[in-house]
Amino acid sequence: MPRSPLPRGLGVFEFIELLIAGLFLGVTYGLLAIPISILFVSTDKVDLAVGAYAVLAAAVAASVPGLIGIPLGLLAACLAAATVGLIFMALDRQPHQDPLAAVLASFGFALFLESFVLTLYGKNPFQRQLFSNFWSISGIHVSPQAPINSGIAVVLIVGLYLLLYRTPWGRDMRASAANQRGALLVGIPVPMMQLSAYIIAGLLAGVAGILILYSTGAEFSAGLHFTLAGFGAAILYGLHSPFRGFLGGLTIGIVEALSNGYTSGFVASAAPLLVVFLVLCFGRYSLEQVRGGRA
Amino acid sequence: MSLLYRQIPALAIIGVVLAVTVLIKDSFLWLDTSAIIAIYALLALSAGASYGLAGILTVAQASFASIGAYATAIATIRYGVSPYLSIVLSVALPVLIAYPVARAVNRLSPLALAIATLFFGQIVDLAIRNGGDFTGNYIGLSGIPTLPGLSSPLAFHLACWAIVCVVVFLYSNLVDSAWGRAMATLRYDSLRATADGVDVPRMRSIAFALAAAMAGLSGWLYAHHGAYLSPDSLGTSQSLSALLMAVIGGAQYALGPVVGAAVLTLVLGQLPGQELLGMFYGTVLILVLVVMPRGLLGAFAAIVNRFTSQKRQVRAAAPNEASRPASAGTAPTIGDAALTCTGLRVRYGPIAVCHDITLSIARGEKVLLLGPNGAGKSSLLGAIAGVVSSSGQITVDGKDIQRHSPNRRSQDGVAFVPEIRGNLFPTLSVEENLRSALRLMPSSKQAAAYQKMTGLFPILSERASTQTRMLSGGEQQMLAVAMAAARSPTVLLLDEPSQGLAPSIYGVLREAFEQLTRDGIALLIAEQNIPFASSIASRCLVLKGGRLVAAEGPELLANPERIAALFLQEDRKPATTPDQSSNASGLIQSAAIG
Repeated sequence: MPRSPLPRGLGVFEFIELLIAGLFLGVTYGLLAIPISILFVSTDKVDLAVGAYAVLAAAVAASVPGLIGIPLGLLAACLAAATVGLIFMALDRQPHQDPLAAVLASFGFALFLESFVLTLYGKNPFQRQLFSNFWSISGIHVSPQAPINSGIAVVLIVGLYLLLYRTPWGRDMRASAANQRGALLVGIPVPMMQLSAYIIAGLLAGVAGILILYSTGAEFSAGLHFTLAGFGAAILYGLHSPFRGFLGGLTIGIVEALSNGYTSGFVASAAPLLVVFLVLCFGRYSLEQVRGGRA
Repeated sequence: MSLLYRQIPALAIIGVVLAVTVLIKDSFLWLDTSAIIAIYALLALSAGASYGLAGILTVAQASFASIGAYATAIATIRYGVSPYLSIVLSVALPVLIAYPVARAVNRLSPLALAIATLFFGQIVDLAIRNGGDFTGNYIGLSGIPTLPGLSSPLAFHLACWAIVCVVVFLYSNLVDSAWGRAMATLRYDSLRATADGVDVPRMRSIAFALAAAMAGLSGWLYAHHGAYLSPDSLGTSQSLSALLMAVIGGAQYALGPVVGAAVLTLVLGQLPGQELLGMFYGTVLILVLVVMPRGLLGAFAAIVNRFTSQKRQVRAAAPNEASRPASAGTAPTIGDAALTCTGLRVRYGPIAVCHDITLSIARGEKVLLLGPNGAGKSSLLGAIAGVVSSSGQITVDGKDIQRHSPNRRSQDGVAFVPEIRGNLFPTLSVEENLRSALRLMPSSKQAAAYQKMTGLFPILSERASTQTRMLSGGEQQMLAVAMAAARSPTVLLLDEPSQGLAPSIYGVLREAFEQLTRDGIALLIAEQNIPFASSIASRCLVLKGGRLVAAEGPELLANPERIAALFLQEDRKPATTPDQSSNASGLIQSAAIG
């Protein structure tokens, strides 16, 4: 994983700074975890192109001057996610569908997007800075972008919660996720619900990409890193819950920031990956849970 | 599979390589391309073996190749070990790493396993990049010696393909061994393999380790081919290339990955720019998965099969369906009936499960669908509801619904309660389940319909906020019926509504069914519990071997001997021996009591 330019030191202030930097990073990982969880519970699929949607949104937004690029970036991410949704539906029509084929196809699409972004927007990192100075609060340096990112994330999560648990549309979505055949039998248009789940996933990943654009920035090849961070975040506390996925994102962000701050070399770069790999190896994820059982 | 048939892949490679060698023996460029194809073929074979044999979609095969390549590079450059000795290290090291990794992660689902290999690949990549002088960090290692005696392009090309041949030969024979057949079982049904006494985690880990050995071998050849090795030489993109090659060729076949490696390497050479590589990979991968899920060899095999099966069908053409007499169902009177089926057929691929079903049910009628296990009862109900595909005509209130999707049919007046309450949403509350069922009704009528259903089953009001999965079986069945009946459908299909319920619930369901038929809803109920069925049905249809063999009144249910005779009769041969009849009636009675 790429190293974040974080200050080093052993004092309490430095520790708090690292913690805040980790939370700052974790907000975007958490936003990437939510679409992975939503798609898993609503379609039983894992979309490995989520990170690529974020990069696409960042690239498109960076290519257009001013704030107009932001909706264009989000639109591009939604379109990309909807395309993956249509590909998954085409795979579902096969009589003896291999569940791994969808994972492979989403990987294929991630490769496509990476190459597309490279061809169209080049190798230079995509980054924008709204603020040139850090705030100093009691000696602790904080980027003004941090509360903006956190605020946007909180608004999105609350909005998502209200959409899923307080509207008939959300009930239909949860019903489709819980029992597709049952949903069809009560007249819920399941394919449309699934397609809208992909578009929401694309939107959330796109927002994460825009936040990344205005904070750490991203290269065309960062999609896989973001997917791994998002998936790691999603699986840390349970793949079936989008909201736990967000907490997982904060955890991974903190692990990454602290390991970058206090260690170096292999451990610093690989710590978040190792944490997730160990959770996969020795965590509480039984076969049923990860296969799609919903607690 | 015969011994000779098994050797076809290896023999095919020998034949093609010899023919190609004659053509390209004087071209350095083509000999080098051929050697690269062989190296990638080994890598693709390892991905194919892991995916096709063990069911592990691995996105880390190039990492194992990288471990093998670095092992030989470090041994030969730093310690002066002969490359022919370091091959042991290149093969053994990936195996020693792959086996414990597989043991650690193989309790996971195939999906999570694929992700775990992705994480593993990234960790290996970081370890190599941060390995200091030992691995050459980001810069890599140069000066790797060529293989002694194989420095000429022709010799190296032949050596590479000889190794591919040996690996394909061993792999083909392994797949067809008792061990390979056990692997095939666990690939598709690990539970059944466990029940057969197969140690699934151990077997999968061994298969994964064998695949890693192939990758290590590929890495060994790679290192001694190019003389230079960096972390990017065998990284994630090469893992994906290997997977793509296996999928394009056909991961289930020993020859598939080799074909995929050849096709892809040759096509990639024609691409105008490296930045387009990902778009090409992605498009091809998705197209192959959607259009040819079994790869080029699978598509070829399908064409051959179609050709040969057409020939067999021409030979075996015989009188069949058309000559059969009319079905035993009541002749449809479409205008008056709530539900009619005419010439309804259900097939699962090549297997026909319902033949020419013709039936008619009036409004307010309770019709029982009887039949032994496997008679096609659930398939028939599923076909009417639209969750199982079928041909023939289905009408509801005189309207043809055959082309309608399941959710459209629910708007047309069909409601279905599948076996074991399969229409419930377990993670939603009781109230949310009921509200979902009412979603198609005008909102002005929803409150009354909700009240009506909770009036029919008062316990549902008490459990309104409880998650459905927390209800008892009887409560779940009540909710399932309430959900299906909530919109006052024209016809309500129920698949074994008494299954797994305490007899005390039967009375509640019986009363509910009475109420629903009084409201004009037609009920078609598949049931095996004869005492329960006899108390609710006004007419019985008997399904046997996918055909309606009898349509009788409720008095049939009081005559176990007659039911047994219908259940046991051969198609078109109604007679049964008295012994068979009494045994069957005993079976039916015990099933009903149970």
